[in-house]
Amino acid sequence: MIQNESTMRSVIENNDLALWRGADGVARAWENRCPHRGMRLSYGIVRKNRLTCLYHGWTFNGEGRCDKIPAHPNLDPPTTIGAKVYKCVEVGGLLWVAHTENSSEPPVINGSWIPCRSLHFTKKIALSNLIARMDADPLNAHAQYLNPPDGAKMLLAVQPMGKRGTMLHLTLHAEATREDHLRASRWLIAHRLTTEIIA
Amino acid sequence: MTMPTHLDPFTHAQWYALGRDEDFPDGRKTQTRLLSQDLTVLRRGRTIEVTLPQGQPRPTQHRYGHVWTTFSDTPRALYDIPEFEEVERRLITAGAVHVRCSGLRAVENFLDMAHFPFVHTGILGVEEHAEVEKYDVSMDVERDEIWATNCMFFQPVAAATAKAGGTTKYKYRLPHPYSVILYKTCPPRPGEWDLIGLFIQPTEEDVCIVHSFVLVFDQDNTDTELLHFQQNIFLQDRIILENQIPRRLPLDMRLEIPTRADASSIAFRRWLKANGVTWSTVRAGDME
Repeated sequence: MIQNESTMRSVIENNDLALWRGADGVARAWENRCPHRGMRLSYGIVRKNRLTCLYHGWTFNGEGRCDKIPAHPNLDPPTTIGAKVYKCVEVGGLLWVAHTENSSEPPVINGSWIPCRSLHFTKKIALSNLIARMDADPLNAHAQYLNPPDGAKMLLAVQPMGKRGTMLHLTLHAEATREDHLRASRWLIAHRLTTEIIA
Repeated sequence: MTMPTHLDPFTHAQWYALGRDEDFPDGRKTQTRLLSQDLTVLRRGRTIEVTLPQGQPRPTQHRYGHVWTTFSDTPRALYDIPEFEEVERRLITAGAVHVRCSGLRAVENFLDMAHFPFVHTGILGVEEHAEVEKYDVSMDVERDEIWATNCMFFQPVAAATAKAGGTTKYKYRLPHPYSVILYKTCPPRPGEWDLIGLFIQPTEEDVCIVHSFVLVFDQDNTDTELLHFQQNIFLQDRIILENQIPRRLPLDMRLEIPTRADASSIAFRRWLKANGVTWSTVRAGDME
């Protein structure tokens, strides 16, 4: 969950990411590294729709271009200086991030979805094992729709984080009740108990 | 003695500070690390013994309030700091701070004025005065060290002795890949310089222990006040140092874009490269 005008750090495989949202509500995903001295941009400060690096105040616009270097207030930074920007779309109550050179289309998810639970697993998790006995339709390589017999439709997405394990993100269709959310959340926690403690 | 794979001759040839006398309890062995190797330190009174795991002794010397050793049998001479001879100065050592970064990154951060308004906000800088004026960088060829001079920066509270904001003058001296000394205007004695410096113990390529000192003419502040000022500043820096990617220092200019304010950092990276330093620096494959 990223509030407007704030940042957070995330990881996909070995890619360190700075996720941030401007006052405009648009979510961005950048390489978590200021091009100047390598500082994690997730420690930066968002003012309106620009992100400022904590280390030297280099400031980047929403498209990743550096437009201010405070040590040289009269310098117009060269247009070549910028953060590395990833593709980032927000659908199904989740952010979806890909390398710019990744040609696959962002997922198309109909309707409105509400985030239910994001849970960290210390191991690498194969989605196919997790949903082996469930009624599921694949959305893409990293997400499945699940149709539990006794509740609202769920969307389960996997975020592989290399040696840091896996994040699983669960969202429910907007029609879901409070009970659906509690049941779905308990289901995910039970899975973590099974995979991390009992196994 | 086997050398770690990436240890270059220049890094190997240096003397390194391991701590102050009082950091090693009398008569009891202390384990430490240097350049990815284990060391044992044993103090008996004023005598210090530093040994390798198989018991082979390494040379030691007491200088600048610290105990120094080297792995080299033909070490590069430890540099002189003549100000340590000036009797009116007070020496305050700030102890050992472990930091998960290359010691070279810690040196570079210490050289850098442009971060003051953002990392030491309200103390060493303010955002409204973030400009870094042009300063001079030169090589002392005879001693093989770098100097950055005529550095100026606006500071709200430059030192524990400073009562009001003003432009502080600085000089920086780089006599060793893991030592950096800052000379700054001394508020009670115009014309004199206060010294603040780091003696870094690179334990691993991406972990270091920073030993620091303050050598000043200050008569007003207690040792504790001076220590707190230094520790506060250094802990603000640690947030940065432990979040730079990669942890080792890139020497290739294309990997991190410098500006004119980074002239001293550019000179430092060039100097390391010219001396064949590979230890604790970025290698092919690190940036993938």
